[in-house]
Amino acid sequence: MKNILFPISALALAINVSNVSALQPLDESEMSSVSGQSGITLNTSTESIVASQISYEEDGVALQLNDFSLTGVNGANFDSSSVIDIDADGRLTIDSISGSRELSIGSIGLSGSNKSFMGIEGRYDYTSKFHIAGSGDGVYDLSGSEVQMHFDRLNFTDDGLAWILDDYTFSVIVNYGHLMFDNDTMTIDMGTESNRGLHLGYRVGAVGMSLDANNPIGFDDPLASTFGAVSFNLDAYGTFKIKAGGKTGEGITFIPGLTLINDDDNDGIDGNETPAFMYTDDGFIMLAKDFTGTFSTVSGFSLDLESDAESPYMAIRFADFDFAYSLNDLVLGGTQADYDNGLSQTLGSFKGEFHFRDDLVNNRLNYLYFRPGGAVGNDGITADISWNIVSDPYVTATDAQGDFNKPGALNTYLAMNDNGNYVYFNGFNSYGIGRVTMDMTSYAANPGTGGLYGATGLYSDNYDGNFDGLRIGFEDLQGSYSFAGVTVGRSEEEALDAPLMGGTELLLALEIFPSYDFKMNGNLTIAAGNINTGGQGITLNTDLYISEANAALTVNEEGRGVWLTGTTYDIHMRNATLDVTDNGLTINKGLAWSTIRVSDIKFGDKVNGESLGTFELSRLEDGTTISVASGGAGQVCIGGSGATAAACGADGGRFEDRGDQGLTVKVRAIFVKDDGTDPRYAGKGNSFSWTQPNGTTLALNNFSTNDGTGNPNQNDYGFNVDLAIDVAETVVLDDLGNEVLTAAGERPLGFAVFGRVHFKQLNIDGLTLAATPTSTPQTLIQGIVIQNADIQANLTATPIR
Amino acid sequence: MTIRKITALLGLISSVSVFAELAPMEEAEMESVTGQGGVYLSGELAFNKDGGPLWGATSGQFDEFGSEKQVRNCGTASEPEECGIRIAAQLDQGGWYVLDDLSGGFAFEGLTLRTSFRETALNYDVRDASGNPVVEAFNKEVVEIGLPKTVSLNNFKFTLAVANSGEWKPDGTVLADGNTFQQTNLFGIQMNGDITLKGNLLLFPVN
Repeated sequence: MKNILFPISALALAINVSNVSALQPLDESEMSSVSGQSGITLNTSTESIVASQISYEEDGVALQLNDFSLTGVNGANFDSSSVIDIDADGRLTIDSISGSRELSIGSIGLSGSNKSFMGIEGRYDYTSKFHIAGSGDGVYDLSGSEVQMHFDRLNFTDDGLAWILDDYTFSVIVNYGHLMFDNDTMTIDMGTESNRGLHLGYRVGAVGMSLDANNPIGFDDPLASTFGAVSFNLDAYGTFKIKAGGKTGEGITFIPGLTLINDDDNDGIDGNETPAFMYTDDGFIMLAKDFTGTFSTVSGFSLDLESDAESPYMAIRFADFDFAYSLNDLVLGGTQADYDNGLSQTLGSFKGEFHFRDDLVNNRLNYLYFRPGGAVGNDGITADISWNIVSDPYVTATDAQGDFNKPGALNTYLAMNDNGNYVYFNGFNSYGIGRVTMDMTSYAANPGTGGLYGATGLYSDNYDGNFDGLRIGFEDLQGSYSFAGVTVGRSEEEALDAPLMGGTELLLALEIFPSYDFKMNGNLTIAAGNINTGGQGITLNTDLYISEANAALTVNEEGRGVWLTGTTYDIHMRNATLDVTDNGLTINKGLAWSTIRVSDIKFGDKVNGESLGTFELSRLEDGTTISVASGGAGQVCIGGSGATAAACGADGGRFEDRGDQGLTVKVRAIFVKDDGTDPRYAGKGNSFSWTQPNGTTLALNNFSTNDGTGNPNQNDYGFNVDLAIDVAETVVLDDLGNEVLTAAGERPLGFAVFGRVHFKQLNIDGLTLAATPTSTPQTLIQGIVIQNADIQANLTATPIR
Repeated sequence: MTIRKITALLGLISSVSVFAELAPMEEAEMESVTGQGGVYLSGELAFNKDGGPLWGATSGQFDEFGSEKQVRNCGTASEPEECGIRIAAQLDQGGWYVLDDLSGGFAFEGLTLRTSFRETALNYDVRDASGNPVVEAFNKEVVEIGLPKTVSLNNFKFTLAVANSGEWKPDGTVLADGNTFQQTNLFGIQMNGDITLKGNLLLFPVN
């Protein structure tokens, strides 16, 4: 295939138009409205356009759009008006405006399969300006073109259910765009940073669902519960190439060399800019300002239509892909008014890089194979995915203090800037492979076979029904990730040239591990709206089973440390919710129960290390919340008490001001007890056991929280774990006990985590000991009651030098 | 080689100043861990530094979620004090052992945490002519906690008591079994000042 932009030879565009209405003549008033314009004005009024199938074929597999129709609203015709002109400079302009019309695609699938990805329904209108000027050398100038499309509703349908975008608008403005053809490649040049080619706008007023196949929500029906409003505003520059031919045979290859950017806050006035991203949930906002993201690949993303013994599929492959982003302000929580008045707090700024590379030696590839049909019903999406994210190994450098290990040149990392200081989580490597499915599902359509409390009921470990919403299923999704270590610095360069150290150990309370292997099965269902409050937000239900897991508690660059190996993690959540609030982002886990079983706690490497034994932790929580808010520890007094430097010093402490930025994560766990009154709790509970390799088992039975009022059912305060994360100066002493300062006379920077555990009352029903796995446990302690606890660990990590 | 065992978890203090006869870590051993990761930690561990969430020394105090605390004064009427943590354990069906009013903190600079491979270790059951433990082959991976030399105690205190209820109750409260709440304080400990902890604490499993 040569000299062809799109592989026409393989493209079978089969449109069976069953009914295209006759064009209506313009009436006098319409004619009068266009008088005086130059060029040609084309007004159309169409009753309908219907096609039984539109297909695009590659290598014998066709992407099919079935039962396509475009009709007017409520039986009326749909209108459009275009003015076609050629300017004095030879530029062709086509300015169009449309009336409202309704689009329907019954199903989108692949030939050879009786399943489909989805259907699409929508009511929309648009305005567009296409400006095209040819230079005669094969370059076409599209500058000045723009498109804006507005959907009253856009529905993605799945077996009669629908995911609904309400009041959805997107726009593309081409400030600079050149289209070039070169042999089998079309290149879109979108300018440079100083001459940005595109402005992209995207806004969804609300996201809702239609969950009754027999009574679908129409375009004019109100949405019962919604996700909230989302908007993006970005400029784009760089190049985008489209090349004929896929990975093999026919197909298309996309090669982006793009930067997406929004730095629309250069005037320095808070609230006086359009954020790159904003989400609004019941009036509370989450937004990102000053965003830059770069996307680049050498080999590109190839798109092929293929088939195997299971089904046809659409394959997207990329042998290399680099993504880098920076985000200078992330606002979490508060209202639009707070933001407009400069009262919003920011989490600080973030940046990161991700580097995808195919590893042919180890067969770790990057691809997405999309198969029609999900895990439920006839429609949906099945994606076979594989990824390989890489970093170079650490390198050894030398400074005045000796040798140290620092991040390699190709470094996948996540970084945070906290009041001008940087912390980097470096050397991220991850690979995985498995299957992910997506379906719209409904509890009413399939409530399972066990009712609420049966063996396969809603509140069992083995629930066999569906939840309301978008179901994301995981089938043997096996993966692994690891970090090489943390670095800190007063500049990005300093942080990337600093010694690698531990530090992620301080985040273990959040179940963030420095290294983790896993295999995941189960599903997570996302529904629009907060089911508990009736407001906006997201509702989550999940049954996940993680197996073959190895989690590092602490690990060095060589992968040696303390590992939890052979781990399984059985997780269930019912009516969990996620909301943006006045103070930040809050996840309410709803009713949650889980069991972690660790086969071996290994010291050394995760395969051959010596075992400390096994442990099992079961938890039953009702109403546990996890909140993420801006601001770190703020002002702290270490080694004393006092809210001011003077008061702290007078008490023998060291006062530190860690600034107003940083990140605070608060977990408020409500551990509940099955006392027989709530059938949802039956058979579940909170317990911990440790079995040594010789079989001796120590067990903590039935722990639970309450508010210490004497009423065991008053349980609002919970078991709280608060973590405030900052980058801050700290005291480092040498072997002689002298304080170590930097060359500039400053205290070294560290990764500072202020952890706090506080609860009113924790009850443990007993501590038992069994000598062997078969012996009867003996009670060592009948009961333990811990009250009024507020335990703080204020630790700052720096490299060991 | 025999090493002090605490069930399966073994803590080996290779060099702690309070055990003066123990040999300091050899330079060669120090070099064996050079270049590995790990962290140097500075900071503090504090218990009820500013009171606790359940009890306030005076009325009108609120927890951080806005509920008023119960009143329990661990000072005097003229100088009220916030109470520390109360930990009560019932060994049999009788009364409760209570570690009460636990509060205060430990501040330190230089606690290190890392993983290292130890080719040798000290065997405390075999002594040389000078009475020092001999060095023997070890060859195990350990989690090495480098002790922070100086640890400052900041008003660390607790009270040991016995009571007839796991939960603390105001004086005169009648319990479910009909008895009045009683707690007898046996003794209290309060510590301030610095202690010296040198050397390493090594953690590794044994069967």
